[in-house]
Amino acid sequence: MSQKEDLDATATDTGPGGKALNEDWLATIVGLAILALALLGFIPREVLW
Amino acid sequence: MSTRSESIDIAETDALAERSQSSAPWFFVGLALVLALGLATRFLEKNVPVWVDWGWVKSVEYPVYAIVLGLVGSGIVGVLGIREKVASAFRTEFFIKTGLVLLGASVQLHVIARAGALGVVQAVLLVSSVFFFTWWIGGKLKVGEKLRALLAASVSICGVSAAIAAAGAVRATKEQIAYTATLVILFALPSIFLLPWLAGLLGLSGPVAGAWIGGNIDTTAAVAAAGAIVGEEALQIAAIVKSAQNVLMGVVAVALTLYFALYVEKKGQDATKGASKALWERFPKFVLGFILASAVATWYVNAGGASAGISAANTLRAYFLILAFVSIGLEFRLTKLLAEGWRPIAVFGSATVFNLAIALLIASILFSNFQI
Repeated sequence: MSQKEDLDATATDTGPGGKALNEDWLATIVGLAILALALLGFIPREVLW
Repeated sequence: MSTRSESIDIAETDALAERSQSSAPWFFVGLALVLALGLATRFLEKNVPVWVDWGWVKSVEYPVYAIVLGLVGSGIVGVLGIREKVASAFRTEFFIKTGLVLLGASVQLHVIARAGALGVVQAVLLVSSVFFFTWWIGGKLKVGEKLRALLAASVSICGVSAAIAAAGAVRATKEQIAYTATLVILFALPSIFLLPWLAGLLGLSGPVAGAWIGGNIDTTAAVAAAGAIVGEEALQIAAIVKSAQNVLMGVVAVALTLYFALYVEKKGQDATKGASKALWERFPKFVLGFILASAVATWYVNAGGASAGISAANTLRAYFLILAFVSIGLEFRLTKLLAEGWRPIAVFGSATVFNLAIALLIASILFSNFQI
């Protein structure tokens, strides 16, 4: 992704390694992955306090 | 004269510039700080009500601890002179959007459909009225057109993200973005505490309070913080209403691009090319995740899934919201405010008061009979 596109995109950001990350998509994927793990019972009870 | 591409290239926030200075080890130092403050927030939330017996202290919600600890952390990294190095880990946007996707799991799909429809109506009324009021008063106070566009977009839509989107549209400078971002946070921080207090004073129901907060506070993270202070119903409605408002960001950004190209810079019909692409680029994709999470969780509950799964998702959602609230505090800096004088502050303040009043009116009309 070019820097122009990077800055045009909503809430786009740059990671510590300089690689472009679209935080909108990243947050969506991480959130849905965590939800799937929770619903499937894969989140250890010790983590939830 | 600079080209459009060059102008966009320099239209970065100071935060982005700071992040480019950060190395991987410093990123992890910053991340450790965010996580440590998040753990401290959770610890205080759990233990203060046990330690202290005073009524109001017992009822302090986790956003308050998180933001105060974040502000303290901000002071410490400033004194240590490591702010630029660790700032890459203060990812408010990522934390809040992940938290909001997870919030979708606790909102029934029919609630999103009903509240979302009302939210879009409220957002259209609010964004248009607040945007043009801010634009008008900015003109009266002789604030430049580019800064007016940033102020109007940020106060009427969704704070820093809208300011960045508007900056790309009107070719604003990075100093103007950084200035607007500081103003947004300066006004959002007290609103987190003031609006829940006023909602209680006015006796607003959870949905009306949520819709008022969602239509009023500029940054999504601060909306979630204020909604969480009022309660779960208010948090859900505030998140839905704010998401509806976020969706309008693309429309406003494209409209600003066309206005500046056609009327300010007089570039002609070429300016209209690529409008639909820009609309999608600026669409907040996490809203899709929020709706999908709600659909999955609704199906899961209807299919007889264990309540422990939803409960675990809710706890993890609280973790991400805490990290977002800590990051709001950590990112706060007052130093940028002296650059542009008092006029933009007066514009932003007036627009905020106008937004406060009109959002209360609209939320009271649209959400007075809303049941979750």
